[in-house]
Amino acid sequence: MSTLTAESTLHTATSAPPTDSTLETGLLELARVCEAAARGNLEVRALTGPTDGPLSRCVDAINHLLDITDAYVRESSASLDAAAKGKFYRRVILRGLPGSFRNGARLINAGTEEMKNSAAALAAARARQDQLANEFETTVQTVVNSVASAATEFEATAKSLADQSHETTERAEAVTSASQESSASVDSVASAATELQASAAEIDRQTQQSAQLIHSAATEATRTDAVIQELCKAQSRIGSVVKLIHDIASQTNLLALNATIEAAHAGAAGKGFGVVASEVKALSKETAAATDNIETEIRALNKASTEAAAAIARISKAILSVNESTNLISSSIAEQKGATEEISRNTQRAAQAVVHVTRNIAGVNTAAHETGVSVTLIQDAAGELSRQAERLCSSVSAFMNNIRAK
Amino acid sequence: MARPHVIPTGIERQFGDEEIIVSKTDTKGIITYANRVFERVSGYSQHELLGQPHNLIRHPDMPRCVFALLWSQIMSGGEIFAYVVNMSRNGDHYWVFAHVTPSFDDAGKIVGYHSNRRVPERKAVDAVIPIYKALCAKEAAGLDPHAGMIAAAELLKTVLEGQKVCYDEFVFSL
Repeated sequence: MSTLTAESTLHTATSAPPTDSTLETGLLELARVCEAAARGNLEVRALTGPTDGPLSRCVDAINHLLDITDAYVRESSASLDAAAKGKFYRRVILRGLPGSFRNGARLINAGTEEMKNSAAALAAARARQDQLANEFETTVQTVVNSVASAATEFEATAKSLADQSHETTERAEAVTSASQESSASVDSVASAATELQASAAEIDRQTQQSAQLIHSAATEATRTDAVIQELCKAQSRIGSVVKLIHDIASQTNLLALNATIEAAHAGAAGKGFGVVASEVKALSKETAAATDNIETEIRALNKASTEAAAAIARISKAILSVNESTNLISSSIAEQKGATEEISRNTQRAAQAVVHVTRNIAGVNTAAHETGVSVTLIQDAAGELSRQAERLCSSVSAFMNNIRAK
Repeated sequence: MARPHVIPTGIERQFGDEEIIVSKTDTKGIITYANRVFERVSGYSQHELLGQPHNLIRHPDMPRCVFALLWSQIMSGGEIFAYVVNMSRNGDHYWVFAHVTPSFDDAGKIVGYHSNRRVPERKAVDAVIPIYKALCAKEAAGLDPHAGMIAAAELLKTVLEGQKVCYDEFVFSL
């Protein structure tokens, strides 16, 4: 920016007073300087030759004006530039700036002072804001941390609850299956008891039937005994008759013998008679032999009847014994019936108890299942709480970073 | 123009509280403009100043590390303030509170540098003098000028760290 070109023109007139021509040249140069300055070029200056005279005074005045203006522009620009960078100590130097320049400079300095105060207030506010932000962050962080740890604890508790509920379910299932087994056992006991009752009833029936049979057998035995007694009496009577026949046969034999003897006495006349007597004698002998046979038979019959009577007696005794046994069986059967009924009643109570247990266990199972569902919800909630706490934490951090002075 | 060898007189010059010493240089530090105040306080005519390096008015009490900082700051496009003691043509000296800024063209390229110098607060000058003395001593104690300047820059850094401020803040605090 070579504007200091007046040197050549003005320096030529150092010794002599300016001529019209040099005056004109000088004025034109001053005009050129002023025009350049008016375009904003504050570097231009008129270089002086003479130190006196109107032209020299014009040159000095214009240069001075330019110096002051230049100083004002440099000072105000530098001061505002520095203030913009926070260097508020850089004020416009008033010294050497007259009148309006000084007033303007004072306004600028007042503005800078105001900026300085505002900046200080702003810095204090920011420091306070930072402090509040730190305090707030610490508080929120503490809260978030305790929420997070509570959520973690919550999750852990929920997990343990879930484990417990799972175990409860498993145990309830085990109890259910055990009670189902019990139920089956009770059922089979009940059916066994029923069968036992039926068997006992059958035994009872058969025992009664046996008793009847025994009774009729006893009756028959008594009757048979009577028949045998009659038979014995008949045999005695037959014996008497046979003895009578035997006596008759003996007397007949004696008579035949007498007749034979008589016939022999009678000789020939008696010969026929003798033959008859021999015949009679033979018959009586046969009769005697027949009665001997009968006696033998009767004795055998008698012996058989006695044996039959003894057998009947033994039978009666046996029947009595059987009867006693049957009675014992009946009373045992009655006891067994009572016991079986007791078993049946107990079995029914057991069955009812099993049903009760099954129903309760179903309730437990449902409750455990519901607990499991609730626990899942709790776990979800705890997880969500945990995530929310983390989000809150990062949001607060981000917010704090935004709030803090940068 | 040959640079005159100037011996410091120890006499301090003053200029008006509301006056500004203005100069412009090209990117190499060659003076392209100096105002009337500059001419009067430095004792050089504009004719003598134009085309000369700005260190024409450099005073031996100024530590070189301050100028190194100044140049590094403005060459990177920033402004800098510095308390500077300058030397007039006859060896007198004058303290200024210098504000040096780059000038840019419309494309934002540095085309030169501009310096406004004002009367400094006396207390700031009193505070700076011992620091500059220490820095100059460091620079003089170096095995070579460069090493000395590095050591002085380190010292300046230590001083600033002791005050817990950056250079600009330190300058404004005086």
